[in-house]
Formats: sequence, structure tokens, C-alpha cells
Amino acid sequence: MISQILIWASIAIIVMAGGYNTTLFVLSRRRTRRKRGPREERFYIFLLACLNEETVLAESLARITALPAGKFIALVIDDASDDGTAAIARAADPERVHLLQRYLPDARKGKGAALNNGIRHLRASGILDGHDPRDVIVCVVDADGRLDQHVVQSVDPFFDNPRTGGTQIGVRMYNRDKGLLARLQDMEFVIYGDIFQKARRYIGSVGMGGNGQFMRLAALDSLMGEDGSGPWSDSLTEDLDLGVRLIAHGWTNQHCTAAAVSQQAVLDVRRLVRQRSRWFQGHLQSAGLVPTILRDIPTRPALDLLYHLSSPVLILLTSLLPLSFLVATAGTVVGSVQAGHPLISPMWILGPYVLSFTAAYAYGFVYHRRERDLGLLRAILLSHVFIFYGYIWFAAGWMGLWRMLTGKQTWLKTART
Amino acid sequence: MYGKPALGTVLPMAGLTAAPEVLPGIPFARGLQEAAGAGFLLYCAIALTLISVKLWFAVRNLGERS
Repeated sequence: MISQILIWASIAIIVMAGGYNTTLFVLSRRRTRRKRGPREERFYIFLLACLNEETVLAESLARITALPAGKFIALVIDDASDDGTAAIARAADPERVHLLQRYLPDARKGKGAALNNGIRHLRASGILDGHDPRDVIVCVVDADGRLDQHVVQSVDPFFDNPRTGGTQIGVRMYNRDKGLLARLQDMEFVIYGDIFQKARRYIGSVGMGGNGQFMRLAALDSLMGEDGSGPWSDSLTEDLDLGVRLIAHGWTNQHCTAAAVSQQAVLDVRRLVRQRSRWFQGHLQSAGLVPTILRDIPTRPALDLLYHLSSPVLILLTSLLPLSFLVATAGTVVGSVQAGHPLISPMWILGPYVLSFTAAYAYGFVYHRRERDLGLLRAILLSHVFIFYGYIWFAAGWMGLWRMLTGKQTWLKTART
Repeated sequence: MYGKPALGTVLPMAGLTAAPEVLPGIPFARGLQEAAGAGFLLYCAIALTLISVKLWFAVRNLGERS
């Protein structure tokens, strides 16, 4: 009896996750209308925290300086690079590109620390003088981030609403044509943005990402510590942390699907698992946000954020199920050979297929709308592969948990190629 | 978390409830699935506690505003 309850409880994980994913898919299909408020020309500041980024920085800066926008600058925060990162920043348009160099032993303390230093530098250097913090928009871009040329025009209307604290744009992989792994990462980010983030606009729980994160300076100011620290934390996923704290301070986060930042996909499975295990570990660390969510965030977004923060636990639990399926299937094949006739019921194929791959049709549909050249049928076939790609998170999850339990906090950044 | 699409797309084995124990590997497979189920029941218990605390805060905040 207890065994039966536990087995059905394990299936309930799939039903719950499937129900959540379906609800968000339906919500994401709704259209939004934005009110246009009075427009002030806003000042945009692009922050690039860089550690040994000479292979990708020049292209990113060239795209930023070519943006068809009025008031903007880029601040390259060189976190004690050993390579030519600082020289590349110096060689860029001096009217638009500023350089802040950090030196050891104060440097290399994480992305959050570098970004915080960037904000302090902006104030100390007088760049912000005469600007109302409500009309200054700070954008965090990775050194390999290639912003769409219309990004400012797409994001700016979201800030017409004075309650908007941050707006996250979509994330794509610019090397998505370089093989299946890159293509699947592109699909992963499109699905996350176009289904989950878009739906969370209606719930009020949009999250911030580490790349393409636009924030109102006044909102960042509200997150500063009394000792002048912040606004970014030293968490491995400082972006997740920042998004939750913005909501807790009464700001609204938005997700803009009309523009994207393209970054470099990881082309090696081992490096990808390592990258994701770092994110996973950061997500586990974010459990410390639970009291803030319970106390300061309205019920509906709070429930979604609690589910979001508990996703790592669900990933670890569900990782046992495909393993169980594989062992049982192998055992049944062996048993069939021994018995001399097949012991596998058709339900063993049909049931798992329906439970596992129904989502692939929705994901294929959504991805096809972004990648028309791919064709709907190919997109759906690809999304079947994407279901298996999701299993990378299982390996990453156990690796991240192990690193947390053994107290390992240091991480090498994902190398560019 | 970007891994969210991975949830709800794993291969559960509802058919295992009817699988004969004599097949090799079935007890181990069943044990794995039961472990996941037990973990989920614990998850639900903690989630219910957190939701109760959240609702308590919501009611208290309403009381303070009125």
C-alpha cells in the first residue's frame, strides 16, 4: 500500500510540473497592451563586467556604439584581466565607451562585486550628474552579448510605467547554427523567455537574467545596503537574487520579447554541465530569499517564486525517474528474452510518450515562431531531442548539490571560444 | 530556472505498478521511483507549511491596512 502511494506520488511530480507548464503556456499566448506614458529621453548605461574577454569584447562594443539611440554610454569593468580586454575598451569610441579597471586583490570577487563597483564609479566620476535616477536605465550585458539594434526602442516603453524597476529582454545564441548543442541552447532560452517569462508578466514574478537585464537606477538605489553596499549580491546567481529583491521592494519586473541579446552557446557537453551546475548551485543558495518572499511579496507572485526557487528540488527528484524507467525497461527486455515472449505492454511506450513528449509540440510551436526557416515539422522533431537535452539539468543538479554540500564556492567562468 | 522545461518531460513508469517483481532490476527501479515519491511528499509538506505562513502574512497585512 505504501509502495503504491509513493509510486503514484512520483507520478504526481510529473502531473504537477506538466500542469504548471501548460498553465504558463496558455498565459503566455495572451496579448498585452501597454499604456504609453509621457516620454522623457532616458539615459542608458551598458555595464559589461569583463574577465579575460579579448576574444569577444570588440564585437560587442562595436554593436553597442552603433546603437541608433541618443543618450547612452558603455562602461567596461575590467576585473583584473590578464589579456587585452582593457586595450580593446580603450580602443573603442571614447565618447561612448568608458573603462573602469579593477586590480587584485580587490578584483575577481564575482560578477556582483564588479557591477557594484561599476555603479559606485558612475557616481564618483560625475557621469550621472544632472540625471534623475528615474530616467537612467542601467543594462547589464555579458562581454559576448550582441544586442539587437532596436533594443533601446523596444525596452524604453516599458519604463513609461513609473513602477517598472527592471525589464529583461530575450536571450538567443548567435552561434546556434554551429551544431545541435548550440541549437538546443537557443531553443532553451527562447522557450524560457517566450513561455515562462512572458507568462510570469501576468503573475508579477518575472525574473532577471544575467545578460540583457535593464534596470532603472532609482530601483537599484532602493536595493542599496545601509553601508553603501549593493545593489547586486555576491550570490552565484546574482541576477535571480536581484529580480526577487526588486519585486519585494514594490517594483514591477517586465519581460520584453521584441528584442534580444545574443550570446555564445557552449559547444561542449562537459562545459555546459559545469556551467549549469554553477547556476544550479546559485539557485540552491537563493533559498535564503524565502523569508523575503513570504514577508514582502504579494501572494500570487510569491507562490510562483516559491515554486521557481524550489525547482532544483523537483529536478533532483525527477532525475530518479528516467533512471528507474531505464532499469525497468532493461530488466523487462532481459525477462522477455528469458521467457521467450515479449513482456512489454504497449502502455509502457504510449504512457511515457504522452507524459513526456506532449510538451514537445508546444515547445516546437513556440520555437518555430522565432525560427521560421526551420519549418514547423523540424521544430517539433527538434523539440523531441530537446526533451532529452533537458536531462543535462539532472547531471548538473547533482553536481551542483555535491559542490554545495562540500562547501565549494569558487567557480571558473565559462570560457569563450 | 532555465531547466524548468525539463520538468514534466521525464519518463515516469506508471506501468511499473503492475510489473512483476521477478523481472531483473524491477525492485531497484521501484525503489528509485518510491524514493522520488517520498521526496515529493516531503516537498508537499514543506510547501504547504510555507503557503500557510504566506497566507498568515497576507491576512496580517490586510488587518494592518484596514
